[in-house]
Amino acid sequence: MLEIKNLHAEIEADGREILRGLDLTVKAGEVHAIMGPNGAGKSTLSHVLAGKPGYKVTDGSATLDGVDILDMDPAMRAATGVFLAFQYPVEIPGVGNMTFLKAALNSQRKARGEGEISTPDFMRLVRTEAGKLKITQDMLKRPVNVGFSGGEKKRNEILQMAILQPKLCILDETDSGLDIDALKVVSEGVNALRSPDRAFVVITHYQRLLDHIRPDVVHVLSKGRIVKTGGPELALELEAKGYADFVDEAA
Amino acid sequence: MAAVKETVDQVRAIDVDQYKYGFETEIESELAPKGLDEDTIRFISAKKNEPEWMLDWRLDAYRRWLTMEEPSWARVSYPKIDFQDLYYYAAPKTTPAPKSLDEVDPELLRTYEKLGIPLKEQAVLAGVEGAKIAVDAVFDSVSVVTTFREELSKHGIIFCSISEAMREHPELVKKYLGTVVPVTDNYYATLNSAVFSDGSFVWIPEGVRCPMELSTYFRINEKKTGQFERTLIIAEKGSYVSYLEGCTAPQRDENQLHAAVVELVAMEDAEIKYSTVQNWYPGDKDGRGGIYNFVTKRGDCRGARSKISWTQVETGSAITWKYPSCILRGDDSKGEFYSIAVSNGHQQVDSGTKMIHLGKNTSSRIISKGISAGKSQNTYRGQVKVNRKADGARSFTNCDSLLIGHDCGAHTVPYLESANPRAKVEHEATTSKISDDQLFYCISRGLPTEEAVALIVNGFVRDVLQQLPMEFAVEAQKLIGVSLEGSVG
Amino acid sequence: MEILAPTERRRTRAETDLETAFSSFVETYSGDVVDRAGAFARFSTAGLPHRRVEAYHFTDLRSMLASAPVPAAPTSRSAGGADLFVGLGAARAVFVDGFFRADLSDLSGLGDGVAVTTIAAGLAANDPALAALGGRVSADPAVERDPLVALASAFYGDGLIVRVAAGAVAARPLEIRHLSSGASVSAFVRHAVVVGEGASIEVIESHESPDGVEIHAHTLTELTLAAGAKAVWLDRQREGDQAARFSTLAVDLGKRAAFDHSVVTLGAKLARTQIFARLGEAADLSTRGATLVKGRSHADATLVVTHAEPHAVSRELYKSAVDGEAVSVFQGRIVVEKKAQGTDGRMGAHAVLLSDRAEAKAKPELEIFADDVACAHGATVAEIDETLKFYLMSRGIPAAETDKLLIRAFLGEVTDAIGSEGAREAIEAEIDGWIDARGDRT
Repeated sequence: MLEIKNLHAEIEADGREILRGLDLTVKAGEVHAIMGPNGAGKSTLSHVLAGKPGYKVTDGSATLDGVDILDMDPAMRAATGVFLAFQYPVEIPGVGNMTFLKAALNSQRKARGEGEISTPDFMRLVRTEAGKLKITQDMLKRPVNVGFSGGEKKRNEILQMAILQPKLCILDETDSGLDIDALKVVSEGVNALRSPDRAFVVITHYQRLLDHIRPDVVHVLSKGRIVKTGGPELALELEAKGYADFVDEAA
Repeated sequence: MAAVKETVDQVRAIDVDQYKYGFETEIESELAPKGLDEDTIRFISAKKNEPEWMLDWRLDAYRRWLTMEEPSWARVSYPKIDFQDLYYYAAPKTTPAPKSLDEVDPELLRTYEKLGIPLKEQAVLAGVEGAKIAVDAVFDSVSVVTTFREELSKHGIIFCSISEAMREHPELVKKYLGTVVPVTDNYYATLNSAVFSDGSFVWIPEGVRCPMELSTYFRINEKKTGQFERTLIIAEKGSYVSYLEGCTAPQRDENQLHAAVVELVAMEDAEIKYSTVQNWYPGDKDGRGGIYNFVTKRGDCRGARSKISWTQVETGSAITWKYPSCILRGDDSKGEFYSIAVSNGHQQVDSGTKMIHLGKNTSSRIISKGISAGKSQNTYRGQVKVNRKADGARSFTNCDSLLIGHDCGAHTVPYLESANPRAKVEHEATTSKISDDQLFYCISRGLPTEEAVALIVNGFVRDVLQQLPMEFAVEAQKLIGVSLEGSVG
Repeated sequence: MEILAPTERRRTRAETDLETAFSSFVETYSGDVVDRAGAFARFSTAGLPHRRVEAYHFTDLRSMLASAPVPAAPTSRSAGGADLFVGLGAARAVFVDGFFRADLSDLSGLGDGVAVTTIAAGLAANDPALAALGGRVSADPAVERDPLVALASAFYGDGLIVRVAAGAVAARPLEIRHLSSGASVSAFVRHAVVVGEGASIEVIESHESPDGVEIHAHTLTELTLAAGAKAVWLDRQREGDQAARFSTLAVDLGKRAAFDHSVVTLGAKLARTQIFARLGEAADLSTRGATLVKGRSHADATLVVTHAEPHAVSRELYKSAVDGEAVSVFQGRIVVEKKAQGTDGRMGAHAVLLSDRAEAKAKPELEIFADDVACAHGATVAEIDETLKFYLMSRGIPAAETDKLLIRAFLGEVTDAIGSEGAREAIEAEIDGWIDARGDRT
């Protein structure tokens, strides 16, 4: 589903290269975890895939079901099926959560040549999904993420994921800032979305999240490249030994 | 807490309404004839053995000044200044140009000692070991001595009085003088251009990091004398200099005029840090006497990635009219303005800054803390202007005022102008009195009111004090305490 | 802040136009009770204000006004305009070119205790009560000195006098529509609204004119709120693209009076909206503004909020979206007089620049003479936040839609708070229309 080949990307402002020839293949139905030390390029990878301004791709490619996504603007990527659950979801004063969800869903449907969802259908959808994630009516009424706690913001991200039904979900350090109860709710939400035609890339620093979202494949990212790939046991090994061995291996 | 204790001790040690630097030095002076006309200017120019071009420059300024009107937009009021009732030149009648400290009149050395200013080259300020500070001491209209010159010259640094620079380095003076503050910039700057008598000149060569703090101490001593100094600092590519300025004057019933011009030029990657502790005589508790401080200070970030930082602690003067500014011409250049302005008694302060963003990705930061007490009026006036071409410019202003007592005023007048959508200009300001809750909290822990106030005020100004070189910060903290003496009833 | 050499006073074409107009104008009104000559003298001594007059630093009328159209005369011509608030069931007073049109108005149903008469009727009857209107507009001397106030005081020929008796509550809102006949004229209207003790009223004011016609539309409104009185006021301006609109509202708030004021500016080539508010003890003022400017328009909102007595609260929030080569100006001053201990004042001014050549200027001032106060202001000028834009786009919303959503959200803080509930939706729709008309630009 996701095919990244020799991806090189740098920070536009200062030309610092962060991704240095990254290769990654994720098949439909799989969950891949990407782990690595601080500064390895984990967040950059998620930003480059989602099309955040401020990065420049200098070489390589990234395709979703064979379609190049790097030339698309972020909205087009979303319509094509890319979804990034942000590490730090922004607050958008003045834009109601419901208004936002509906606008996003209908924009994506329109871009894919589908009709708009009816308001009753939309309301039913939101109510159902919000309930699963313990998102209250009040949170739905408020502006996007405004006044939300860290955990509420992350749950709101998963709600968007559930409603927008993307093909590829990228979770950027979704576990950061979550207590154990919130982590459970979020993980359950993610697990409920696992399906044979959807893939997940879970970026995390710690093994903890992977106890709840079981990966099929674990990669170690260091200095902008995947330096080791293995099964779920690799995450445990990392937890036990730390990153030092793997990082040195790469050097 | 130590610093607070010091402030409080300082406050206790001094009687109410007692200006520490109010003494007068008994020294014979040579004065220009009273009043101002072209002959006065010729007299000053001749006294300084100036080249002909300099005299022409002055006369041109004078003629323009005659056509100008005193500005009235600042929130300050004072009786009309009689410019013919002033002396424009006063110099101690001793050795004309002392070659070394040994030749300086001992009475002058004693004066600076009393002011706590180290003219001996091994001396240091405020008990901080190991810190070397080169000093240019300006007494009324002339520079009496400049220390550490030899050591500085080893690094190729020129640090001398501007009179000397005009004679010894005319090419540099000619190249830069009046290029940041044009002759006709404003009424007081034009007057200064006509009659300035002395001041400091600094030139830092390419790539040199000045090994010590440079400083100038200004002292007005003579009666009925205006001080018009002119400072010019040039930092060539990749150089760095930190410069300090201090000012005091005797306690007198009359108002004295101080109209200085300071010009800074920072070339590519150069940085100039300019700190002022202004403690001119503020007048007595009834508002008699005190210095009228009308100053034009401006820095030009001429080169890419250059930086100019102004830090000021304003506690003195009857009237302060002062806006140290930055022209952010070079791409990626930075301007900073950190200010503490304390007013008490009948003082009137109208001070702030201008940040003019011309280059791309230029940034400015303004932090201003005003404290009004007594019957004083304290105004922050600042302008941030972003030119159409200044893509990516950023400006942030934080401007807080604190009121102590019922009879003072605190005013905030910012001007924000942006003509570039990729620029971001932010301004925030607050005005409040010292929090009753904070005060009560401190008092309930056993602090006397005066100490509690000092503690809270020190917290209020902390962000700015941190910008000062350490020796200066200690001095400034004491001064703020002293200035607020008697403000809490 | 610059100091410039004084210049000789030279009359501009617009000033000469006004002088000429005034000399024939006073003859028409000779013998009326109003001191028009005195008012005009206040204007003509200094003439049109320019950038060195501090209050007009960013709006230099001397250079912006090339000429002044002739003063309007009463007309029976019909007038167009979008009838935005027709569904509200408000009583309405319609003015065309500055003169009341009974045939287009319906002032019934305001209820007992609400009396509405016209200035023109008062002038015709030589009502001595009008003499007061010729002189003092407000206790604030800054209002008296204002050149636009002086001009309107010299030239006004009509307007409304609204009196709400003590304890009365207006049964329905009063809509005041200012329309144009399409003739190129200067129109001058003066309203006086007095709300008695504990009484209340809602006013919806609307200004419209067609594109392509040079008109100068002046209104000067004095609003007096007695102790405990309440007023909700909405001022919506959509003048034509060649119009100049000058509005001044001087409001005096008595003890515990409350005034909720909103101004929405969507049109005019040149607009200056002035609010001078003076707050009595424990009075409560909220004023907010949404300005949307494009083309080469220049819109200026100038406020002076004076806390004259203790414990009053004021809130000011002005936002502008600036497109094309337009300029938005905000000047706001909170003055706290010595007596006004316990003042709580808060002001915000925010502009978003939507194009490369748009400009915003802001001067939020605090002038404080009392020590027991909590006052603050904040101001920002920036473009639409890139981070927010990316977040919305990453959820599939196209760039153009993202801009619309974010402009709407930016102004939403103002429009959501509009006190005239019935009118809020119409205003929001009008703003949406303005945003949609920008087209799909990013």
